[in-house]
Amino acid sequence: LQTRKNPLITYSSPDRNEAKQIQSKLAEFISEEALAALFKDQQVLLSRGRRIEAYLLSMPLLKFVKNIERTRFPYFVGLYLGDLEKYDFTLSLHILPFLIPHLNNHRMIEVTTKGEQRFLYGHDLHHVDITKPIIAINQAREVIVVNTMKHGLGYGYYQPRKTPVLKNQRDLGWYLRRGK
Amino acid sequence: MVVDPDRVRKLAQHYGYREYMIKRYFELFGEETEAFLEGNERSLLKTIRINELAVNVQEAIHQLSSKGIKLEQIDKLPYAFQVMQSEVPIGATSEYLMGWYMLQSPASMWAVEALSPNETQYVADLCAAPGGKTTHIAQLMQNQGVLVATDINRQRVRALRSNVSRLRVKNTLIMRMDAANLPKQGMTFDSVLIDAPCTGEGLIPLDPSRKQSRTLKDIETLTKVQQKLIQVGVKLLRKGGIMVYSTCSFAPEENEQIINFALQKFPIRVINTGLPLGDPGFITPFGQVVDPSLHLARRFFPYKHYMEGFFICKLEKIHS
Repeated sequence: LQTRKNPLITYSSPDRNEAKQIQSKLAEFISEEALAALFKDQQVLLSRGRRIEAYLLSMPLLKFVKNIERTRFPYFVGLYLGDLEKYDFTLSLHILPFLIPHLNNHRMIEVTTKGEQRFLYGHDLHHVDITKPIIAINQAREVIVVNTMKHGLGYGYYQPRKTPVLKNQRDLGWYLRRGK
Repeated sequence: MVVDPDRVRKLAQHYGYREYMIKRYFELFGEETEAFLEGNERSLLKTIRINELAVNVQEAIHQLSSKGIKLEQIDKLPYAFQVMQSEVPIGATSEYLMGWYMLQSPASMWAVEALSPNETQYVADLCAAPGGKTTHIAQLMQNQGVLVATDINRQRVRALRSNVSRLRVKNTLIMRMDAANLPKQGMTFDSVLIDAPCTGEGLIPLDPSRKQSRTLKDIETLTKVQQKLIQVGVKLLRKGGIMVYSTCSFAPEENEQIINFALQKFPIRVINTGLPLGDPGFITPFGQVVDPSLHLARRFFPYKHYMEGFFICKLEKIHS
């Protein structure tokens, strides 16, 4: 039943603005070509309930979802891209490893082994936790945090002139802290 | 088999079981009962499945061994390893969080191996949470095809979603619902996995409280659920489709007798699991004769196979 706590979830394709919002967020982190490759033969579907979640579905999955009764919408489907908010799109942890191979250097911050542990515990990081960047990032921006082997650890807000220098936004430790 | 009640009482006291359980074990295992009980006392090593959707096996072994985690490959499962020694908690490493591996028992891996899904198939996993087998199926499907995972429990579905996300699975549709409602959606599948809710006696080596917490009434209640689930599974299969039914229970009422019930009612037959290990299913449990093809089912026992107790049966739908 539809309640305030459990609103009826509906699935639909994004409108033009929503699609633009999602694509422009992803394009901040990966090239246009990588984005095209990621979306090749896939389609975005939005689940609209208490939150608007965006999923990327292969064609067989999409066909399957469309055949499901309207009262039985899936709880989760395909690749969870993130949450659509009024003015922003928040990338999910699910998409993180799929972005890493194509990541723009100016959106990547590499952290030390100690920094990795601290970040995965949900902490913010200081200069000492960060290795020398491939490209000097002078402006504050959202970044993907990677370890010394370039494996994705989460999302952060890098602010080179402030302390802490890297604010933790979302990290893989969530799977232990909240995802169980 | 006639068993001395004194012997039953002493064994029940010694090993901490309810007496009815010991009696039943004598009827099933005869003189091997003490070996069986002793086997349940041995602690089992943790096992992991390397998630080939995230990393190749060699890289994972190299990285984990550099952290002081000593692994030994499980025979005939190239991606499965026993954790022989670990200097860090195996369920909380960076690699775990990056989805490189899943803590999963070998018995449940064998259930998925018996299903042997491929990348072109439509597969359903009923009672899927927390997702060990679901993510394993996705791994064997190479993240392609369509995998529908259902579970009724809200909390457990969250864990399922978290594991699907952590292990980089993207061919899966999770539905929080009673699997009994799935056939109404008009879906049909090439393969169906039913890891049915059960009394879980097979998990005694991991959770000794089950020696006391289960009763015959639980078996009775659960068999109704299991019968319903297998009926749903058959409905969901296309002609020629494959179903694997598994439980982590020793009780024949939850295993052979459920399959026997299904064989009598539905157009299915038992086929070879293709597994290289395991004992045959019982064909005269507690003196009741079941379909002889049940010897093709496989049973795993802690005292013989050094893993949790498990039952796996592979079935084929003969016609619609």
